Amino acid sequence: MKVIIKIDEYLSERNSVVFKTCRLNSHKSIDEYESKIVDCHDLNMTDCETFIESLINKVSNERIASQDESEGILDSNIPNDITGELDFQKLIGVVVQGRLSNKINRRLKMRRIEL
Amino acid sequence: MMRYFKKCEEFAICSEVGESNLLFPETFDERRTLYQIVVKGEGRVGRIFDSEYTILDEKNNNFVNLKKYMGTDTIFQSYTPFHIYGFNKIDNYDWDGKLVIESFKGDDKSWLICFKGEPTINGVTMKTMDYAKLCDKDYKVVLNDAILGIFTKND
Repeated sequence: MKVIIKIDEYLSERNSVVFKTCRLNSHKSIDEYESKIVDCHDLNMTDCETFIESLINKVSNERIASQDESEGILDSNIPNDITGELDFQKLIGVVVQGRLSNKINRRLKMRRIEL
Repeated sequence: MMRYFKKCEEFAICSEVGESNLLFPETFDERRTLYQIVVKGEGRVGRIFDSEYTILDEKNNNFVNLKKYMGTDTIFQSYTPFHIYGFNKIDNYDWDGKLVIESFKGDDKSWLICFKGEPTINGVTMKTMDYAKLCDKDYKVVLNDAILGIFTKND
């Protein structure tokens, strides 16, 4: 299942984010979904990719389980590719895509180099 | 136990991190590990219900050919807290793997993977889980006690 998530706000004083999430294929804009708040204390904040992955795995599954995956993608839901060092200013207001993964199997971070 | 996975260009790497006295089964269709690399701890792996098994040990047996278990149901048991990696095939090609302990001549069918430490190869410092495709040239290795594996795809 492909999901998108949009962070509306980062509350630094309590290390929490306000977010919206839905299926990538939702026919409703992500902006029409209800915002929720989630604490970041148990999320992986190493970088953007690991943060988004852990956030999605924590909050998205139950919230969007009932949505219809066969729907198309609205323009406002088309995700952007955000990578690299975690910077909330880069994430706020930007739709990014993640993939729910088996909670036992996490992404092994590797880097290809040239010798 | 935490399990990690990364599909690379021509192979896949898995990693498992866990405590002692842990049992981890894999069915025959899940098991695609050709080589197991042990960076921490000790344990054993074998076919389920079989008395034969293979010791995995960071000190004495940290780079192990496990092709004999391909396509069988296996179980891993940890004796201590552990961190292991698996080199897995993603197609029907076979691979040969070995630990790098000195400078070597490369070829374009081989990949180099750093599993632990920071070795220097031709003046480039690799970090843990850096990997590189090799080519036909000499590679000067300063190992710095790293665990470095070279894997060559067979035609």
